[in-house]
Formats: sequence, C-alpha cells, structure tokens
Amino acid sequence: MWNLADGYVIIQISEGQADRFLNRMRAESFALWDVCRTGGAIQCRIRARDFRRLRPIRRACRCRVRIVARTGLPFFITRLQTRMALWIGCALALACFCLLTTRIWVIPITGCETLPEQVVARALREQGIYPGASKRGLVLYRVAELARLYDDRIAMIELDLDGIVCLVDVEEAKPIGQTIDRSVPTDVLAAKGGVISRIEPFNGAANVAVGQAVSAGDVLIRGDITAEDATEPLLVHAYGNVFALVNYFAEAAVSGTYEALAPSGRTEPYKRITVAGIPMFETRPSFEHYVLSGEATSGALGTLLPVRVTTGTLAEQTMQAMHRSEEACIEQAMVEAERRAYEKLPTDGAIVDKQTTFALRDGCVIGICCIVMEESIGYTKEIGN
Amino acid sequence: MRNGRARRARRKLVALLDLPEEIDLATPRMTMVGKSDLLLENLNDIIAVTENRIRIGTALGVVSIEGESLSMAELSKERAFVSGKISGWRYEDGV
Repeated sequence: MWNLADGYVIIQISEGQADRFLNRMRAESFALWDVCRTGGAIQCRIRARDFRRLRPIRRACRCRVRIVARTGLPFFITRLQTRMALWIGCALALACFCLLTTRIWVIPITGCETLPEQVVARALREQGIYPGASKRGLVLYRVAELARLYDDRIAMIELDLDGIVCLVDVEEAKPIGQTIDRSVPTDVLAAKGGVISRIEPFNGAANVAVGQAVSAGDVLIRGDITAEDATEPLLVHAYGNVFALVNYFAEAAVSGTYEALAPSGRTEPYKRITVAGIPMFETRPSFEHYVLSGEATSGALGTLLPVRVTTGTLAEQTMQAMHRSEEACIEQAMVEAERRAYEKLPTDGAIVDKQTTFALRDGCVIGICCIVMEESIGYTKEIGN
Repeated sequence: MRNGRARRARRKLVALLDLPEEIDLATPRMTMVGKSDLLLENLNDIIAVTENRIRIGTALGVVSIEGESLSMAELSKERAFVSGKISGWRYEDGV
C-alpha cells in the first residue's frame, strides 16, 4: 500500500553479473522485493526514486537494466497530467462545490405539532431563507424574530446554520387557559369523602373545621356569607384550598392452589444461526410454551467470521396445578392488595400512612391494604345550579 | 584475522550474557513457515537466484534453498524472505 503511494518500478536485470548487481543493491540499502528469475534475467521491484541510484552499480556490474512496468500514484498522476479536460472538470467541480456550500440547501423544521410546517417555511421564505438562498449577510436572530411575527401560532423560532443545513426549531404558542369569572357566586364542594386536614378560604366562609369528616358533595367553603340581620343576601365567589385525609382500600384474594406454566419434561434441541446479527436459521419449536436452557454460542467461528451459532435445549411448559404454602399465600395476597391500592391513588397528593393486613376466609387468604393520602378535595360549583 | 577475532569475541560475549546466538549478526537464523515461506536473517550475499534454487552465502557457508517458483518477496541487507514451493534447504559447505 505504502509502495503504491510512493511509486515503484519493476526492473529486469540481464547480461553481466546479475547476482553481483543484487548484492551491490543490498549493500547500498536499496529496498528490494519480489526478486525472481524470469528467463535469463532477474526481475525485481524497487522504489521509483531509487532508480537513478542504479546507474553506478549498473556500470560496475556491466548489466543491462530495463524497466518492465511503472506502478504507483506518482506515475498515475503523471499520466493524468496530459488530460486537460479532466483537470478542467476537477477545477469546475471544486468551484461548484465551493459555490454551492455558500448557500442553504436543506431546511429541516422541527417542533411543529399543530402548526403546518408549510406556514413556517413560508414565513422563512419571506425573510429570505429558502433552498438555494445565499448565507451571506444573514442575521439569524433578526430573521427568526421577523419570521415569528408572520403567524400568531408561532411563539418562537430558533435558527441554526450547520454548513448547508439551516436547522429550524419552532415553539408553538399555547392557547391561554380558561379565565375564571370571579363575579359568579360559587361554593367549594367536596369531590370525595375524607377527614379535613387543612382549610384555607381565600373568599367565602369555611363551612367545615379541621378534623371533621366530610362526604362527597358537602359544602366546604360557603359562598353565601349573608349576615343574619341583613335584608339582602350576600353571595360571593368562594374559593380556597381544602385538604383532607382520604382512605384508599383494596383487597386481593389468593388461594393455595393455582394454575401456572411448569416444565412437562419434554425437550427438543434448539439451534439458531445469525450472520452479522441477521437471523438466517432458527429451529421452529413444536411446543406452545417453552423455555430455552443450556444456551451456548460457538466462539471460534465468531472470531473469524461474523457468524454466530447458538445451540440449546427447549423445555416444554404446560399449565399445571400448583400449590403454595400459607406464608406464600399471605405474602402474595398482601403484595397484590398493595398493588391494587396504589393503582387507585391520585397523582397530586401525599401518602400519609399505609396499613396492610390479611384475613382467612373460605380457604383463601384475603390481603387488605389501606393507604391514607392527603389531597385537595375541593371544587367550585355555582350557587343554585 | 582481525574479523575472526572480533567474531569470536562477540560469540563469547553473547554466550556469557545468555543471549540468543544470532544476535552477533553473523550466525544465520532461518525461520520457515509451512512449506511456502522461509526467512533467512544474517546473510552475507546472494550467490545465485534461479526459479528452482536460491543460493545465499552466510557466515557458516552457502545455504541452498530448493523448490519451485522461488522468489524473494523481500531482500535487504540483513534478511531475505524466500517464498514459493519450497522442497528443502541445506548447507552446501559447513564451517
């Protein structure tokens, strides 16, 4: 490879003392390779730049040296030097490349969820960013700011130039949330039952006290704050924070006998062949359910070729009646009850307490879990509706 | 005469230091890989190159490598790498 880059010649040494010629070359530290006898002459390869150094040796040994072939990059380039059209083509290609890299050719738009990408593309086109546009004199932040004003749905545009690619990241405008009309008289009601742990009325009057048990639908903060001696009712828009301790119960029954997949005792051999990670062959199992065991991969073949052969044994699995101990039943029942209780929990609360126990009923173990959670339970409702 | 003394002194030193014998740059060392490649180190000169025989001079005599389609894949001052269908090699004359 290096010799090809450096350039070498195949020479034929005939007449005179060819063997002495070789020894002289060795003594002069020539790089010699592929030395062989062809017909009456010795043929070998030397570096192209060493060829001129052969002259004194050739004279001393009275040999005739003939170049059979010239190979390598310097000769290749020399041959190409006469091909003007090729060089002009190379220069034109280079010029085209340089010219084309001064322009934007790819504009990927990301971040559009509801807004069509065409709208963003139009906004950018108006500001002079389109496939084929010049990059010269482009002030990205100003273009982004002007493109943002094109449509109200665009909250922000971020532009980044990476070679011929102009990356566009769009942030869409979010719709403003529903406004609350504070003039409408409302009560704050309980969404679910619990024991009040904290109440903070911002407007209206507290209707319950801390420690009081409430049910779903009970009024927590009253909007009707009419004084007893008033002639006109005084209704306000009641709102505030009401937190309560809410219990979440869950039960799970587990019996001592159950059905599960277990080995039937039948086995069959397994083989899988992959080439460069792509499966080429795999044993088709005759069992509906099975487990692969004793998996072994051939190492020797994998180190030479990207072929991997995996062998093993497929053990059939069938549904069978299984028995478990009472301790296992209790543990299973409690775990299952806890899991069910956790599934009921809302995401916007804090767990205060958790109790898990079990009971025996009709030969089954019943796991019982109770989780106490502090959460906001109030919601506003218009008075009279 | 002086060369002979120097060589002997080098050999003694090499033996004294428990170094490999070929390290004195005079004792030839031959490494053969399969039947197709033979590396000869510490050679003196090339005597003859033919298609069936390559004769190389060493400090211990002329080494004759025989076979078919023989060539020297690499040839330098210190080593010759002979390749081809090698049938055998021998010393033509010992020291």
